[in-house]
Amino acid sequence: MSKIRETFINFDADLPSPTPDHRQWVVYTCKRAGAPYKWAGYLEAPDTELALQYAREHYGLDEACIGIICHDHTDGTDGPYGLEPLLPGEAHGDDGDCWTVFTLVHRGGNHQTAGNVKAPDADTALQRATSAFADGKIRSIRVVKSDRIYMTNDDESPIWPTHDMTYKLAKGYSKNVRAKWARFRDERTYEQYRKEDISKHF
Amino acid sequence: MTMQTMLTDPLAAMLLAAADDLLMLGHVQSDWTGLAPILEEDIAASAMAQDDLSHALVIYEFLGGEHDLDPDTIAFDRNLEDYRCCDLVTVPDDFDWSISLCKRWLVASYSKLGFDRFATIEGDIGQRCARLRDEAAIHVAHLNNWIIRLGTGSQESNDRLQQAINKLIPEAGMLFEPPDAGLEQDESFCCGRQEIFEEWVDQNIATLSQANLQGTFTLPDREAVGGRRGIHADHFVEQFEEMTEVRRTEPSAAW
Repeated sequence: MSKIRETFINFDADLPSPTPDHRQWVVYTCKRAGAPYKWAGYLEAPDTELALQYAREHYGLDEACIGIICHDHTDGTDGPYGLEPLLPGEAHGDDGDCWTVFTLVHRGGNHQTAGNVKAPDADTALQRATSAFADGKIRSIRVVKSDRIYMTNDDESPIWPTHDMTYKLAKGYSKNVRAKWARFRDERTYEQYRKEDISKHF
Repeated sequence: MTMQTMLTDPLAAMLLAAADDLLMLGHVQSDWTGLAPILEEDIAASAMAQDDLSHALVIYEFLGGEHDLDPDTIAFDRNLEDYRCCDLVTVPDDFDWSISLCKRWLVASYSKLGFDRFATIEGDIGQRCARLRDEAAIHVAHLNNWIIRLGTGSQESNDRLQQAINKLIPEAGMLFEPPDAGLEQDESFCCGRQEIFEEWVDQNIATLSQANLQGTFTLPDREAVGGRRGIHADHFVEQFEEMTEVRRTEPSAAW
């Protein structure tokens, strides 16, 4: 913190009480047209508008993506996580609301969109999603009512399709450091560096 | 090519004005890391402070290439009177979130319009600024959202933000001070000074209206001299001395 601020800190005694209204949101990003939305992470926000805004800023700028969706954590219903792939079921039907289905394709992976089912409630949606999408590979299924999923629109994503954020990467404080890093990368491989580092310190 | 050559170049003067605003604002704003009202906003505000510094670096690198200067030299080693930033960026916020927010909002909306114009320049700097413009647009959207959110949140949040606006708006017009008295009208976007000011005001008034806030913006006389022409306030000097303290201990040090 700046030294010149030290005399300015003044915590008012009459500050209003904080409002514990934060909700946890699950964020998924899509890397290219036609690709599924894959789990990207979580964030906290009091409402949909801020959730989408933070999702754009925290996840949309990290790496190129063309779209982001998010939903309140409590709107997601996860089925059992299988150490073995899920077996297809026999539940079918097209009554009820539309639910978006996310599947976990392999253990240790991340959920991604797979499609939709219709169902009157979350449990039925899970059963019907298992029938529709369990293909002998996926390990887990999550369903979220589709109207509870929020998506960025094109106007809100002017930077994702084209951005290259490498100019923000740490390059060192000065030109000298940047030159040293460039030379280091050119002359030595990471493996060589690692071996030397291990032998030197262990 | 020397520092003096750069400082007398009209385009460089305009670019330095934009970059110096962001350098100082990014430096001041980074103080809020860990202190913003909510965690996600803390991350966002810190990221935007980093963006501001990065945007300044992009411009310093361009100018460094044009004038054979190290970007760090441009950022840290100029004389005080050679910094072109508007002193609005270093107005102390006393850790009052409403002042910090309002200041960043005013500067970001101005910077966005500046990048819009720089992006029309053919060549390297135009391409660089086209990139920065897109990111500046995200900053403006973010800050607009918070102005509206706090303006319509509660009577207290509205009152606090209105006080911040009342405090900062009188200084904000100096964002449009031409950075060099010798600039010809057709040498920079100063030729559209009135036009860009009106565009900036229209955008700001639209946001304030949505936020149930009021503000009256005034374009200072062209002759009014301030930070863009090197006449800086004490708070700029304090901020500058702190920002360059490490650098000044050993300017030629290899890090």
